[in-house]
Amino acid sequence: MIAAWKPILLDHGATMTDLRWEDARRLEAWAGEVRVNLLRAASLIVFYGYHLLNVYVLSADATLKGEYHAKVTLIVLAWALAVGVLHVSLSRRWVPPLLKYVAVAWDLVMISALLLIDKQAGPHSPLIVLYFLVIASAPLRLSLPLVYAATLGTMAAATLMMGGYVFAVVGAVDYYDPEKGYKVGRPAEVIFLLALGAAGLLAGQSVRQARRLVEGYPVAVQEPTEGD
Amino acid sequence: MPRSIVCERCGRSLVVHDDDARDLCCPRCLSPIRDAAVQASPPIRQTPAGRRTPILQPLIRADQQVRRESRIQLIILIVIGLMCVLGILLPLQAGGFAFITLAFFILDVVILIVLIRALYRWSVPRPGGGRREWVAAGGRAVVASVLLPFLCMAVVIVLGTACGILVEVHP
Repeated sequence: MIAAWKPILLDHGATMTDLRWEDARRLEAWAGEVRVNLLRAASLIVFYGYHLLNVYVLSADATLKGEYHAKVTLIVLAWALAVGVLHVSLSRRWVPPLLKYVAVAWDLVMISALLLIDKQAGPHSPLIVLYFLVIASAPLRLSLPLVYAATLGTMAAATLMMGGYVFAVVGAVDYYDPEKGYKVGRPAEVIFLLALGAAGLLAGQSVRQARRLVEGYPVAVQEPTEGD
Repeated sequence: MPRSIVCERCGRSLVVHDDDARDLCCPRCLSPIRDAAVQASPPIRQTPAGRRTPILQPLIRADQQVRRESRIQLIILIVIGLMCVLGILLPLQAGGFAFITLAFFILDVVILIVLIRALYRWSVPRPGGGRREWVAAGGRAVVASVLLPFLCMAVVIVLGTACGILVEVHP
């Protein structure tokens, strides 16, 4: 006989599966945050290493060596500082619920700052795809609210970055001047935001499926006994 | 054989399925579980049906992964620091940078790294200290975070002044 499978309701309103998920999630979210921090640090090395190589070895462009390089180094230092703070916090097993939101927000601020340091950068820079990495890192923390926050936060950050680029970095007059070539077409902006939304939906689905795996399935295959 | 223990930090009842409890931690408060406490606890009797139920073991446990990655993280942080130093020195070197200034800059960075490491070690809780030690370690961490910027500023000012005097004496 197969017993009906339903969550057991506890005294304080939570179900058994809620607790099971929370316990599994807490541990894996901690491991996920550590993994994200490690990948963040490794990415900083790779991207900044390429920047140094590009500025001092590969490229002959003198404009890259001045203010632009100083700004990039400053942003990398600020990002590395955040990596260090997160490392201390996580290695001391201090994982407050807000930590993952702060880490995502800091990543978004750093990416937006990186895009706004130069007139030639902004939405034209290939670094704009880094926004997708923020969404891709969210499911590792196994938190659906974080995936929502990362997706909506990334869309908001990209929109604000665009506004900053138009009105602060380039200036509205130059931006809308067709001869200057700064303008980004409206369809490109909308498609970029829609793609961010789609990435967020996929990220959320992986968290939902992880939860289903933890909760288990009501039917299990019984192993054959020695007599069978 | 599964054993039942009580977490020393949060007081929750835990069932440990692994005979070797080293590197395990409480899923509720993430505090480490002592292997000796697990070995001293009585085993849970299993029903014949329960024995047939397989326990899914991941390839690498979350706490082992965290321990391993924390070590790699430290190395990576040092590499990032060195790369940033390189990123600052390269433009200075291109603009005609005095050797003595470079030496003082490197000395500055080395002293700051030693200082940060010492403060970190001072604020880490001692093993087996219990809840009171964690509270004391939290206090030490707060003091260390307040002290750190002032100490860094002091080191930079002292070394910067010494460097300035030396450059003036031996230009």
